[in-house]
Formats: sequence, structure tokens, C-alpha cells
Amino acid sequence: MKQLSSIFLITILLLGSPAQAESDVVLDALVDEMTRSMKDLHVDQHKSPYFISYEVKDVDEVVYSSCLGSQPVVNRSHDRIITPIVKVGEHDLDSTYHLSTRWDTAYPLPIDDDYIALRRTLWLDTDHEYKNAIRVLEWKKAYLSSNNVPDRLPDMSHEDAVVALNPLGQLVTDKKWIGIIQELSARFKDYPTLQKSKVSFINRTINRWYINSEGSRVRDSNNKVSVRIMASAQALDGMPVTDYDVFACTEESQLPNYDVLKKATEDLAQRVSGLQTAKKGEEYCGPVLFEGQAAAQLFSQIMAPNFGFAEEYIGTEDWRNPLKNALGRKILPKHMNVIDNPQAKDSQGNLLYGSYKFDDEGIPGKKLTLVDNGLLKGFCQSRIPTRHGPNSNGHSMGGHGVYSILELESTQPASPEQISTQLAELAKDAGLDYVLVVSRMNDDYQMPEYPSGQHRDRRPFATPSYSIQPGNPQVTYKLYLADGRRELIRGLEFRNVSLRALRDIQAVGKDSKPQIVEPQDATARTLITPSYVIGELELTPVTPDHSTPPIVPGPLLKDPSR
Amino acid sequence: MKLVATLISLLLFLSGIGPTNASSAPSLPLENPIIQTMDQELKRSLSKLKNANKAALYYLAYRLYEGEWEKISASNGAIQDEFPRNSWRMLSVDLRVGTPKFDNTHFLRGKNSASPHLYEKSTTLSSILPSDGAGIPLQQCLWLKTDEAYKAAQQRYSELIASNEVMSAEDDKSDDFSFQPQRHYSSPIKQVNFDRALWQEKVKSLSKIFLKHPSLLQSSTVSFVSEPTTRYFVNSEGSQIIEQHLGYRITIQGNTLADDGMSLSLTDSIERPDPEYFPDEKALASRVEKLASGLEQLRKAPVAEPYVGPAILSGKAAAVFFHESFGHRVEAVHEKSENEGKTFAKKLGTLVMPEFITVVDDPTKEKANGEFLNGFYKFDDEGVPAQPVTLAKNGVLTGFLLARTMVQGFNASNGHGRSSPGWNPVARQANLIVTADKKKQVSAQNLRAMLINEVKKQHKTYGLLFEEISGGYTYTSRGSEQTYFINPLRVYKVFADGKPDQLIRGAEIVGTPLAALERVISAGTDSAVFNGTCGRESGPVPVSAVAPSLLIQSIETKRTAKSFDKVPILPAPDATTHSAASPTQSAHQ
Repeated sequence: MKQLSSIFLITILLLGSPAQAESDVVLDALVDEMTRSMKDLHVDQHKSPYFISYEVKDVDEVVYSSCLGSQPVVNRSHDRIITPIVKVGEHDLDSTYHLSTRWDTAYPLPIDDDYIALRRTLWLDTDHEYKNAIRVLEWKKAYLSSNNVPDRLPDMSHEDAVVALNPLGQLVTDKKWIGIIQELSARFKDYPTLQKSKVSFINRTINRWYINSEGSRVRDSNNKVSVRIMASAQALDGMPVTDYDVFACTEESQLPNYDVLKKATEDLAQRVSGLQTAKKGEEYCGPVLFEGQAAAQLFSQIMAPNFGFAEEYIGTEDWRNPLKNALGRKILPKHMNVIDNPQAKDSQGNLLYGSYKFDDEGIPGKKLTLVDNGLLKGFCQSRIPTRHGPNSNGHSMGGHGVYSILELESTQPASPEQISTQLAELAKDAGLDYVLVVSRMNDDYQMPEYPSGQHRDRRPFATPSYSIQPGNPQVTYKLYLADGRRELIRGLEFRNVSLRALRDIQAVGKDSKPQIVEPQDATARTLITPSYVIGELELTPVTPDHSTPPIVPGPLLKDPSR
Repeated sequence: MKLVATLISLLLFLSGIGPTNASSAPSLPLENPIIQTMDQELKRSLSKLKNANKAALYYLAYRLYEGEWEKISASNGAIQDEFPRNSWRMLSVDLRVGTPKFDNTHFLRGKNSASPHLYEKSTTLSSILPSDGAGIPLQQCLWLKTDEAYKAAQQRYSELIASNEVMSAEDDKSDDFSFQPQRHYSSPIKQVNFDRALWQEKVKSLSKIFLKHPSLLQSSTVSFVSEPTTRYFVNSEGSQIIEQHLGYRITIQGNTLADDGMSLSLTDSIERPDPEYFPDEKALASRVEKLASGLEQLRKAPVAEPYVGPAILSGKAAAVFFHESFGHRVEAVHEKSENEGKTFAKKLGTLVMPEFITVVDDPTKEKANGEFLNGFYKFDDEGVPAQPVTLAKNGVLTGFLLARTMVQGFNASNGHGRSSPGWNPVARQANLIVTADKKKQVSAQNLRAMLINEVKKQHKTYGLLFEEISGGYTYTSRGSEQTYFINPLRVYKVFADGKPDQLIRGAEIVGTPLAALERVISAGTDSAVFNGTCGRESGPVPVSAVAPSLLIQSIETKRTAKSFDKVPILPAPDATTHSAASPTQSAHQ
């Protein structure tokens, strides 16, 4: 068995002030308690842990929100959590129970850099995890002795230790956003038929420490900044219509300026107002053009979760990855590639929302080619070995291999004219005089941080599946083939969509753009996607189960006393 | 469904300041922009909705709660987390269709359900309730919430009508609602201000005292909480009320694990309407020290065996005993609903406890024994002035706590319609005050002697003395056992043979109310205040209970639930072993 791995030093730079490194009380407390536990923590016949890691996440956040020009509410929160991993056994068979890994084992930690207080918390949490580990390992041994588990893989990969102590970040917010949010939300006063609207600004600094008993010492910081705009209303028949827009980046200075945000706010207001009077969609079976946010949403909901979780579990599986045994097989058209890059940047060289340098297990996030010429080439992996690779590639999220920032590309991108031609041919085959264009799909963009002090028990990821019913299309058009006219419609939902649908991509545009997605309430991140045409999908009218419009006219109408 | 009431000493609101008498309040409409926005939308909605559907809208009220809460919490000398100045609002719409005799809030027997709580809270990202200000943003939210409440009320009313047509007649035929005169009242609104940095240091320093007790194996915290809450109320009777409650609380809490795996916890909390009134730091430090020492003693104490026999309940324990066994059963909601046990529904005018005891609930009382009372308020959450109510006079049941929903034999609220922000008000306790006839009061020494006599009389070797308690809970619904439970913190065995008292751990009082109340033998000359928060069907509300020490002829205890944890394998880390683990040179990517 490979013992303590060699230290993998990345670019070495001295921090500006050695004193800063010397005074990292959090790091000191983590290392000291881990060292003591590795040496002395054992009970009766059970051995000491063979591996301990601590991941500390310090989340400092400010949120400004305003509705219809109200004085923005300012909410601050600052908390710290620790995820201690204590393993007994050995790499080949240890105490990890992968199916429940790490979304219920985050504990609060003091936000003060107080050595004694930190040590006491770490002591008790480590003790708790160690006792749990002994129980799980004994259960696993018993399970394996009475169940047939052929070709079982090791429980944890051997990895080089990583040392990278980056400076900590500090939450800095320009107060101008209070005014901007208020002004943006006041724009909705011009749209009296809308019912709900809200503009929020969320600025979050996340400082992280990761250490393990193999010698890894990682300290890092990143920011998540977003502006979220929401509007909803009811159509004349009462059907709810809602849409969101979100701008998210890694530095406050990268947010669009007021004029751009104002236009986005007004566009959203007009979209939702337009939906109120739009015609209802009808049963549809035929080609669908996904553009903009919808292209990213569909891909993130149908395909993306299956790029991770290629792991083998013992016991009853909570989920099964339908692509787990499809390596080398065609999953997309031949001209398509998918890259996963945890450090992807936009055209200005800015790191995209959701990017990271080190994953939850302190491993540097590696750029991966997941799909090459339509063929599945790899998976996002954590330190849980898979049949496709014994090592992590820096994609651990909550302990599992999970995708980060995906980029879809085609080696044969089509121009808008070519796409139109393609759509016309597909429609003709299907006997249609129009095709559907979906440009926005439902995503309520709660923008939470998982796990965090406020959400210690939440999973940060969406789990794999072969087919799901994707979120409802929110902005859908009928594109008439005869004259190219677009007509906004409402009230459609997808029937179940499976992985096969993405093999049926008929054309891919040249309009790649970063989009924010937060499917299944997982952590929000960026996907870079072009528009694409799926040859055949089925959509059906939503069940008209909703309340009637308000009886009293809204107070924003010119004569609210009517 | 089982209804459980809990009383705990952790959370509270304390009412603050203002004119001493609600009746001296101004009679003119209030010139407050929030009230004006609420009133404008109320009138607009009322005029449009009154007869918009088959069931007439006959009452509409808006309750808007507003707070800016802060919490500073520390453990082992370090701040745990920070939520500085988080503003929130909670809006409730009380909307009634039908008639006061029978409306949409009636208990729906077919579905065994009370009227659902309909509220909007500003703290979710999807809420459009603004946390500040008045005007259009607030009005927009009121408009939508009213529409939602109106449609829900119409639907529920139809269900209730159908349900009544196919089900047997109800016992209690009292009205679902009672009207009130118009009221205008505004308490002074005080700006909340305290020295945050000072309190951070205080809390940190106090929490460090626990470190002097290395055998404490689990968590300990000291926290300072500021919870100022202002309620804005308007209704279709024309009432407009603003009432602010200022509440500050220091909570000291310690948890430990006995060697046998029993989890032990002690809590001490101090509530004041102004931080200036808190004890000084030296006094606070002594309370922390006392709690930590107490916890250490408790760890070593022997485990209590199940017991039935005489016992003394200290004033605080007796206060909780009355809150659970009696107080919850005179809340009208538990005497009206067909789903409830109705312990006292037909006992008005009869003896329900010893003749030397009188019980009053008085929300107008601000202090007792020099201590601020949690259950003090001017108006309840239905816009009705707070009133003292005599519930038992010389042992005879004389009244119920009433909200606007009636119970047989009564026709007006007595100002006890209470709720947590966002919940539907029901009749609740406020300041429950138990007094004993002077002729029956005895000194602490005599009470103890009477206990020992009773122990001997019952051929027991010891009786119990319940000194401190954390709270209790009770079941009142018809489908559940009519029991109450009290969770003691410090319990002593008092031996008949004169041996020194012995601290024990792991005893929980359990009993049934009618039997327990009859067994009160005597009362002390003392009186103690228990301040806490009571959780019930209208959410947690601040309450107090005041009582003298009581000698009970027979109390039953059971073992408390036990965890299965072992004490930590390693000793607590040595605070002096701070090694400079951080490399002096760091890799930087």
C-alpha cells in the first residue's frame, strides 16, 4: 500500500507577508487536532484512523433585495462549517459508505480564529466521526461476507498531497448596489399587470481550508456575485407565468453596468407581460430549437448529471448512472465535443461563476474532455475510484464526482440560415407548418451555497438519471416556416426526455455563450452552450390547475380604486 | 392529530413601554404610513370583495410584524456565527366569510383540521413583502395575499357547510367570531440600539468560563439576543394599533454527557426590556460559573429511579406545573373543538383544585416580585385590549381564556387571542399567576417538614424536591392521553431519616391534570416567576407563570430518554499545545 504520498507543490510563491502564514490559527488548529487524532484516537481492538481530512468553509454573505422600489433590505450572514472525514480500515476497504457521503456530516465551527475553541470543536466532531466510521466498517465487512459483490473496487484512491496556501478573501461590497437594486426594482412599476417582482443582489466570499493526513494543506478563496431579477403574473385565464434573469460572476466589478441591468429588467418585464396575453400552446411533436438559457438548461438537466457518479456502490443504490458502462460509446452527434473545465473563463479572461481551483477533497480541478466527436471519453471523478480510472481528476463535490463548468462545442457549427433550413426540413417531415423555439426554461435561481451554515444538510449536486421531465419551458415561440414570424406562446410542458434526445441533435449554432444554471436546486454554475436543434420532442399543454386572476384590480393600475 | 404544548425557557419577547392604560389611547386614526397603506388596501379590498362570492366577507384584518433581530453567540471564548441586523417582516391576513355564527375558520371535522395559517414572510428570496417602508410595494403584497386568503376562505367555507350537512351535530354551538369596538392605539416606538462590540466581548468572555471546567464534555454557549418586534394591526372594525415589544435575552447553556451516556443540559436565561437592566458582568460570570459547576455535579449524581410519592415543587416548577396541567385546559380553543379533550368544558362553577388556590391570567401585569413578565402586552393579536381573567377562585373554575372565537357560555373575547407572527391567533395564556390563601401558606422550613411527614405517612424512604426545571409539555387532544410532562433540571432526594439531600439526575415528571391538581396539599410563602416561550397551535408566544412552592401529595416521575453516546475517547485538547503548524513559507497557486 502506498503510504504518505509525495508533496505535490504547485507554483510556489511567497506570500507577501510571512506573518500571515504564521498566524493562520485555523490551519494550526486543524493540523494539531488531526495529528493528535491520527496518533492517539483508537478504542478497544479498533485501529486508529488511516485517513483524516478536514474541509472548512467560511461563508460571508450580503444580500440586498427590493420590490417595486422599496427601501432595499440588507441581510448579512457569516458562518463557518467543517466537514470532517475520518476513515478507518485501508484504501482498499474502509469505512466510507458512499451512498450517504458527506451531506449530513457538516458541523458548525466558530467564526473567530480562536485556537482553543476550534480545537475543542474539532476534538468532538472527530470523535463522533471516528465512532461512526468503526460502525460502518464493521457493517461493510459483514455485508461483504454474506453478499456477492464481484470485482469490488477500492474505496479510496491514492493521491499526491497538495500544498497551496493562497490568501484569504474578504467580503467587500460597493454600497452603490443598494441604490441600483432599488432603481431596478422600481422599473416594474411601469408594468401594472405584473403581480410579483423582485431584484436581489447577492455577494458572497467563500474561504476554504482543506487539510488531510497525507500532507495536503490547501487554503483558497473565491467569490460569487449575482444579480437576480424575478417577475410573475397570471394570464387572463389565471395561468401563472414567471420568468427570471440572473447575472452571476466571480468579481463584483464584472457585473454589467446599470444600463445593461435596466434593459434586462425591462426585457424581463416585457417578456412576462407578453406571456400574460400569449396564446396557449398545443400538443406538439417535432423539432425544437433550444437557444440561450434554455440550451444550457436542457443539457444540464438531461445529460450533465451523468458525467459524474460513475462510481460503484455496495448496498442498495440510490441512483444508477445510465452512462456508467457507456465509455467509448456515442452519446452525442459525431461533430460534438464536451469539455469540463473547473477554471473556465469568459472572453474577457474572467473566471466563470462556479469555478474553483481545488475540489472538495483538495485536488486541483483538471480540465477534461468528456465527449470527443460524440463519444463518451471520461467522467468527472472524486477520490472514489471507478472502473474508468483509479484516481481523482479534481471534481469532488460533496465527496462524489460531479461536473463543474461544461462547454459544448461543435466541429460543424451551423449559421442561423443553415439552422432555419434544417428546421424547415424537419418540420416538413413531421407535417408541421411551424416549429417550436424554446429560449428560457424554468429555474428559480435561489443561488444558495451548499453546504453552508444555513444549509448544512443539502446536497450540492443533482443525481444521474436516464430520463426526467425537464423544467417547464417559460419562453417559447412558434416559428412559422412560411414567413419566419415568431409568436410567443405559453402553457407547455415537456413529456419525459431521455438521454437519447441529445443523440438526436440535428444542428448546433455558432452562438456559444455562458449561461447560469441551477438544476434540481443544486449549486448554481455556468454552462457554455450554443443553440441546438433536437430532431423530435414531445410537448403537451400543462394541466390548467391554478387559481383565477385576482378579483380586485392591482393597486398599480391607474385607478386602483375601481 | 396530537396537540402538544411546550414551554421552554429559551425564547421570549418582552413587552416594553408605553401608556399604562390602553383605554387612554388616542381615538383618532393613526398617522403612520404603514398603517395608512394597510388601511387603504383593506378598505379597497373589502369594498370589492364583500359580496363578490356566495359567502359574504364580513371581517378582514391585516397583521404586519416587523423586526430587526440580532444574535451574538459564543462558545469557548469564540463567536459562533454572525447575523447582524437582519430585518424581517411577516404579514398575516385574517379574513372571514360566512357569518360570525359560522365561518370559514371553523374546525373542519371532515379533515380534522383547523384553519390553515396564511402568511408571507419577507426573508425568502421569492417573497415580495418589503422588509421596510410603506406605499405601493407593501400594498401590492397585501393585495395578492388578500386575494389568496379570500379564495381559500370561500373554498373552506363550502367544505365546512358540506361537512356539517353530513356529520353529527357539534356539542359546542358557540359563535366562531365576536365583534369588538373600534380601537386606536400606538405605543411609543423606541429605536433599538446597543453596543454590539461591547456585547461581543462580554459574551466571548463569559463563554470562556466553561473552559475552567475541563470535565464538561459537550457544547456550551452564551448568547445575547435582541428581538425588537413591532406589530401593525388594522381591521374592518376600523381599529388601528401599533405595539412594540422590546426583548433582550442572555442565555447560558451547557451540555454534558454522563459516563453512562446520559445527556445532561442546564440552561439559565435572563430577559430584560433594555440591555441596561441586565446584571453586571461580575454577576453574569457568577451565573455562568454556577451553571458549569451545577453541570459537573449533575454528571456525578446517581440516576433517578421511577418514583411515585410526595414532592415539593419549587415556585418555578409549580408555575410550570400549573401552566401545563391547568393553563392549557382553560384556553378556549381546547374546550370548543370536537377534536379536543375538553377537560373543563362542563366544570364551570365546580371545584377543580384545592380551595386555598386562586389562579388569574393577567397580561396587563408588567412585573411580579420585581421581575419583568414575558406575557405582558397592551393588545392581543386580534386587536382586543389585554384583560386580567380569574380562571379559578378558591379552587372553583370561574372562566376561560378567550380569543374572538367563542366557547359555550361566553360571548366576548377577554384579550387572549395570541399568536406568533404568521400564525392564526387562538386563546393562549399570558401571565398565569397562582396564589394561595394566606392561611394555608407555610414557611419553606415547614413545607419541608410537611414533606417528610408525608413521606413517612406513605411509608417511603424519601420524597423529591424539584428545584429547577427547564419546561414542560402536555397533550390535550381527545385522541391522545391527557397527560402533562415537566422536565426538571435539578432534583433532590429528601430523606425521611434526616440524611443530607441527594442530587439525582434523569427524572421527568409525568401525570394527568385532574388527578394532579387535587393533590396539592400546601403552599409556601414564596412566589417565583418562570419566564419562557410556549409553543402551541398558534406558534410560540412569550409567557410567564408565577406560583409559590407547592407540596404535592403524589407526583410520578419516569426515566428521561437516554442517548447512547460514549464519552469522547481522547481527553479535551490541551489549550497550551498550540504548535506553529502553518508553514512560514507557503505555496501559492
